[in-house]
Amino acid sequence: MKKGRVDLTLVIMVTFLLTAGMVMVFSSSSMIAVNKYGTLTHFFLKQMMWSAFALSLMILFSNINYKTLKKYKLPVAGIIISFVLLAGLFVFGAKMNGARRWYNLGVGSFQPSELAKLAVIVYFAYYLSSAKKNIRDLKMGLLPLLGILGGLMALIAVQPDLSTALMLGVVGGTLLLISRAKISHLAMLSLPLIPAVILGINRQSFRLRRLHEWLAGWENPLHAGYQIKQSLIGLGRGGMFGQSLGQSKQKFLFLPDSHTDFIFSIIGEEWGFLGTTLILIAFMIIFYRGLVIARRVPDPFGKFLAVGIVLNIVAYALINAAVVSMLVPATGLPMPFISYGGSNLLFLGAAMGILLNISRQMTPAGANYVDYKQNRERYLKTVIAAD
Amino acid sequence: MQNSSQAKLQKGRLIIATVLVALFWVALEVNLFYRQIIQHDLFEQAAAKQYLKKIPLRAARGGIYDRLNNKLVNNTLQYDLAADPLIVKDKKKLAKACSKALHKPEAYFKKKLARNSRFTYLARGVSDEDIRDILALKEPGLIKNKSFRREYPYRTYAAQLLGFTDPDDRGLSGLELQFDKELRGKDGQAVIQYNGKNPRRMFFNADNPIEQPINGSDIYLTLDKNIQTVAEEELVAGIKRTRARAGMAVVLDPFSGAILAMANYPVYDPNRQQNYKKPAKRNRSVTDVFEPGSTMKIITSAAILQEQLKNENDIVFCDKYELHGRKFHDTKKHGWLSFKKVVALSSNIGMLKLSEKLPPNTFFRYLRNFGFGAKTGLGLNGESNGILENPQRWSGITKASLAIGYGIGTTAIQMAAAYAAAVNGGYLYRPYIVDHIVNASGETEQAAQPLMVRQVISKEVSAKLKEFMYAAVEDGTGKEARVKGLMVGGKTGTARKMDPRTKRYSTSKYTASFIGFAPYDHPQYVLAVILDEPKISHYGGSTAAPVFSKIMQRIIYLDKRNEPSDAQNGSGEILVKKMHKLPPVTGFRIENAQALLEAKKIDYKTVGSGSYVKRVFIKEKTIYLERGELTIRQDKVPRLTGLTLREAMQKVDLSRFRIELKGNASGVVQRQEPPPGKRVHKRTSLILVCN
Repeated sequence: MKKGRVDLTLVIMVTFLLTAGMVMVFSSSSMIAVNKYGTLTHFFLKQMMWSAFALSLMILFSNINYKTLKKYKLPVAGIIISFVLLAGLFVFGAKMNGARRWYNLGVGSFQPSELAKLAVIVYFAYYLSSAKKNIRDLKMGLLPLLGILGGLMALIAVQPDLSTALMLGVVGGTLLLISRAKISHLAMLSLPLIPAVILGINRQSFRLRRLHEWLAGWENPLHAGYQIKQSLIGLGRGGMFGQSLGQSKQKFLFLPDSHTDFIFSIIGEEWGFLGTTLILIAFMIIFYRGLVIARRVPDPFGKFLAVGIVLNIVAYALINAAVVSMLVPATGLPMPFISYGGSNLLFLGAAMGILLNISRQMTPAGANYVDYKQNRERYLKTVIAAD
Repeated sequence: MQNSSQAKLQKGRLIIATVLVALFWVALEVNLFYRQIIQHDLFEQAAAKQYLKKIPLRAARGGIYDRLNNKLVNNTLQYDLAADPLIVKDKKKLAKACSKALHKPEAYFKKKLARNSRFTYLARGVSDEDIRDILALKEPGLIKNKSFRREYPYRTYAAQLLGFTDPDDRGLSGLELQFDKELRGKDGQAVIQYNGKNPRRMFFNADNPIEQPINGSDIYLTLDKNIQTVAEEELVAGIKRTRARAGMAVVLDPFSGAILAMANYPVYDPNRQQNYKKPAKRNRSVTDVFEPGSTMKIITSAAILQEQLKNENDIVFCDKYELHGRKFHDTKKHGWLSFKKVVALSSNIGMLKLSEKLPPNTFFRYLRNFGFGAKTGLGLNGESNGILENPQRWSGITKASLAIGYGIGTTAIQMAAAYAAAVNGGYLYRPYIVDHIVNASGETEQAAQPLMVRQVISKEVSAKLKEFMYAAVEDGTGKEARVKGLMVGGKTGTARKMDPRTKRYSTSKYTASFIGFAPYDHPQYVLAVILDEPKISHYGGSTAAPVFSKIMQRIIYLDKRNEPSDAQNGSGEILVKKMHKLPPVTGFRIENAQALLEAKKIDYKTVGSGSYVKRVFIKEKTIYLERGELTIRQDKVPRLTGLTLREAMQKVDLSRFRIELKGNASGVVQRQEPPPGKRVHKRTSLILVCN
């Protein structure tokens, strides 16, 4: 099989976001690092290492034909491994901040929910594009898939990590939405979710409190919950052009999680509205490229896979930014490529590698879509000739 | 391809999903724009509030000193104790310690410490001692802030002059208010930066260096603490004795206008000023206007003498006087009186007759020249102009009223300044109280110089006025102003008070005054004593004059120049001690001095002849009183020009000067050599040229 060129725009965007991420992790984590470890660069060096691994994984996966992913029962294997690892957390998981989300591997920690996300995307793409499974059939098609999704979500939610579980639901749900699944089925099944979510929030008083704080924040941003208030102060201080690199004051332990879930606030503080917009535009470009790739790629598996991958990235990015700017109630989600975190980066790297591989796959006429786009006339003739 | 057609991605649904994502992104951008640009200022302020805590570093308020550099006000160091509740480790323990040390319920402090703020005062204005146990807790959330509180250690002392401050040490009255800007200095500030989380750290930052406070300037007054003390004590005693409503006493240096004392009654304590009524806080000496009465006769006499309308020996018959239907009275029928006697006995009728020829405009000019009807330029807030109508508005009897001190409003300070001019050779000096101001770096910022405003009368007239005043004390209405062993002069004043309701002069309420000077030859002090509505008697001669006498008696020897000063003639410490025990007798009548020394069992010998003690010295461990005629110890050449030879001889200490006469012995001294004011250290010849 002849390999085409990868989508350069995607590579540039990912590199840009990873670089911005490293710089911002350094800036935003330095004070926390000093405070905890006595050195400015504790998190920065780790992030450099993870970024390097992520890039390696991206290169590696961009060289593996994405179609391999649906062979050898790999999608099913991914789901099973995800279930096992998530379940294993109850026994072997390292408890941090009252949650069991990680396996401690000595060199770093491993977060199985990251694997679960990729596994769900791959499995959904496989399932939805498979001719054998009829998604329009409620009992035989839709429900088993939802069962798998629900099961994983449940395992993640009890860690507890409700945000990640919900995001998994959003990505899976969206994939179902754009498949041939019946809207009536989806509506019917999602309606009972609403009271379930309300019940879930009510059961956990801290979630209810967060919701109240969020509502209070809309009245007066300075009455919002502490973290959101600090996040908004960071964003607000930035103004149009920001306080310039390294000049964040919120990172002086005012803003909790300033290098992970709330790094976007520090970006806003140091780079202003221009910086936050630039970052979001980069994500939107990735989203757009993903959609273009999905349109170009001939097989439905590739289409679903590409959409799933970019949807996962853009949904995380937008919702993270929305949380940080109080558009939606606070919830802990990382900003893809930018937030500090090993597992997240590695799986993002892998996912991007897959997307890049899709982008370089041949069209039916034997060209990858980039070449095809550039030499459209020639390819069209070839296609006609081949048929 | 057909088998996968049913599994195809639904383009329409994907477009909807894409549009939803794009809409979400747009909403997000709008939200970011709102938060980052529109609400920028709001968050900027909120940020500054949590990063920075400004702590004022208080400047110490400047001091107020008298002319001998005695500090008249104090700053007590005190502390404002505050806490940062978010840093406080053990709130319970701290609340308990605070409750114990500051005598407030524990719940009060617990409530304060429970606040979700960065700063709360636990106690303000407490001493280091009070909070020692609290500080011993070594609680990291405690903030101890130094501040100062004005304290007036001498309490009522010169209180109306000094004024007082509010709890934040801002001047509210008196000098404290008037020189508030100078005294206050400039507070500095330290900016503390916080970080956000435990362990909280506070650090100073190079962006906000500590601004050191600049302490206030020190104000040095011309006031003399000792003289002020005497003036206050005797004024209060006099008021108690006479049961007067209020009173004031002003001591002035007639040769510079420097105010040495300014006492007012009623008094108040500036440390607890809120407990006193307003009248007690007023510096009456400069604010209160009164009709002076007979003390004004000296000024009228000055005008008459200077205009050469009458001679001091001219006589008038004092029985009755009527002008435009208004009858003027004396306390008794005096009959024929000389000008001098008219003043000495304070005859209204005599004075009116003597001043008949004085043109109103001329009289007005003299009154203005003596400083009436205008601020003295003393420079104290609230000073009154007094009341002096223009001659155009005078009625038929105004001039006559003015001549005996009615129809004119004066302040005590105006009277004292006018009398100073009357006795110092005719020079009106601007009174002043602030000598100089020294800023925190030791530089003198403002320095007042004695300011001679104008010469009002000639030296000769001045000399005659002194004689008049001496006569008033020796054998006139002011006998009770006499000071044992000292020649003093002065004039009594007894003025009916105008009833503001009826616009008629009261028959029972008087302003009694005595204004005089001492020593006679070279007046050092002009002292004005004014009593408002004395009850036991309304005469200035029997109410104010004794106060004058007592003050003068006590202050005259405070000045080292008037003290026996021959200690350097003796040798050894014993003698110095002996001299120290020696009461000041220089200038005393010899019999008084002898009585005093005998009462103290001090052996002495007298040398020379004369009725006064001229000099005290110690020779071979024996105290000698050198007798002589009344002269003040001279080491300066006196001014003799303009005097007759006879007068000149009286003024000269013959033990110091050999007189060499040139010209006509019955004439007036025209020139003298050496010139007046020159210091001499040994017996010198003094050449007098007469015409």
